[in-house]
Amino acid sequence: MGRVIALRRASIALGGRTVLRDVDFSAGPGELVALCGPNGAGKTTLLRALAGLLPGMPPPDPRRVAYLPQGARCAWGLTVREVAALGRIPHRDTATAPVTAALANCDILPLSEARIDRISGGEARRAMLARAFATEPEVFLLDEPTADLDPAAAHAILRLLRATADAGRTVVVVLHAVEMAIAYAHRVVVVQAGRIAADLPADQALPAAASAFGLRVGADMTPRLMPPA
Amino acid sequence: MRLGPGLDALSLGEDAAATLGMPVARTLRLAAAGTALAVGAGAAVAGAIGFVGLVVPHLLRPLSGRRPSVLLPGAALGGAALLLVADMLVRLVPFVLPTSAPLPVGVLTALLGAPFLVVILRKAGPWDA
Repeated sequence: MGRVIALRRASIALGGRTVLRDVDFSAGPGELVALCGPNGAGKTTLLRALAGLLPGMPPPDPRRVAYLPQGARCAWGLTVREVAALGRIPHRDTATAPVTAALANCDILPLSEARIDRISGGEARRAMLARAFATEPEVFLLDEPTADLDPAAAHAILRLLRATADAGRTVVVVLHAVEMAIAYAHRVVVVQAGRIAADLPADQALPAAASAFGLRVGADMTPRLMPPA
Repeated sequence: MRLGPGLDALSLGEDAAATLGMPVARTLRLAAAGTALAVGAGAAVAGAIGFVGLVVPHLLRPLSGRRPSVLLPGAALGGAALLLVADMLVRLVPFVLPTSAPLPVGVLTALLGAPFLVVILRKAGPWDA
């Protein structure tokens, strides 16, 4: 399987602090890779490095790679459709079909004409995600796309990302919700203190993820929210 | 005008604009330089005419949509139109008040713009553009 996005032996210092040390990372088509790890571990920096946003990193073709920053907000009160349409900038066209499809995929189509600063945080997040989908890229780099989302919407978005990967795209996603990462990703990469502490198939990743957070792995019968059957 | 798509992309922040393939640093530099040049040239020719730059983009934003690439040319036209009307009104003043000396056009735009500033501040709050 080809590697469509990769870092080799990357070490990155920001503001005098080494944020990533000697990191090897790659992902291929058909993979949903979740980056997990404590705050400040370097997940966002790793994603930004893949997106070519750090000094010395070559920027990838914007038609091929879409990047959704952490806490993505919009400076102006554009409409949801206008925000999603910004995803067509790399193609230099005004095609509406991919924009509409992206809005529908992200379940935000009914709010197309709403101003993005007049809707909820979760709705705005989905509009931002639709912007990435409108680009129709091969590779999605998404920094916490489910932050602000209610549990049902988070499951829906992760199901969408899984289906996107299963259709042959590459999806690299920073997720704090480890259980969600394990439930939906193919691979879980645990980032800890600027290194990759573990890179495992999702169903084997729980112990490594727990130890990165300093948590135990346990099982109890507490009822919890489950995705729809 | 050529900066339009770059400014639109910058709505999403510098990182997202860069990954959309926009030359962020160049766009910001050109936009700042262009603004300074245009404002400087305008003030040099016409003198200080207040509030036009404040009022017109805010008036047009609900009409034109909020994309910077659409708003920018619209604001240029709208500003010209508003000034034309203001200038005409100012030139009509001597017919109404025979004693008055020619009124600087800035007085009229300020008369229009100052209440407008109060309205947008009260209505929208400082963070809502």
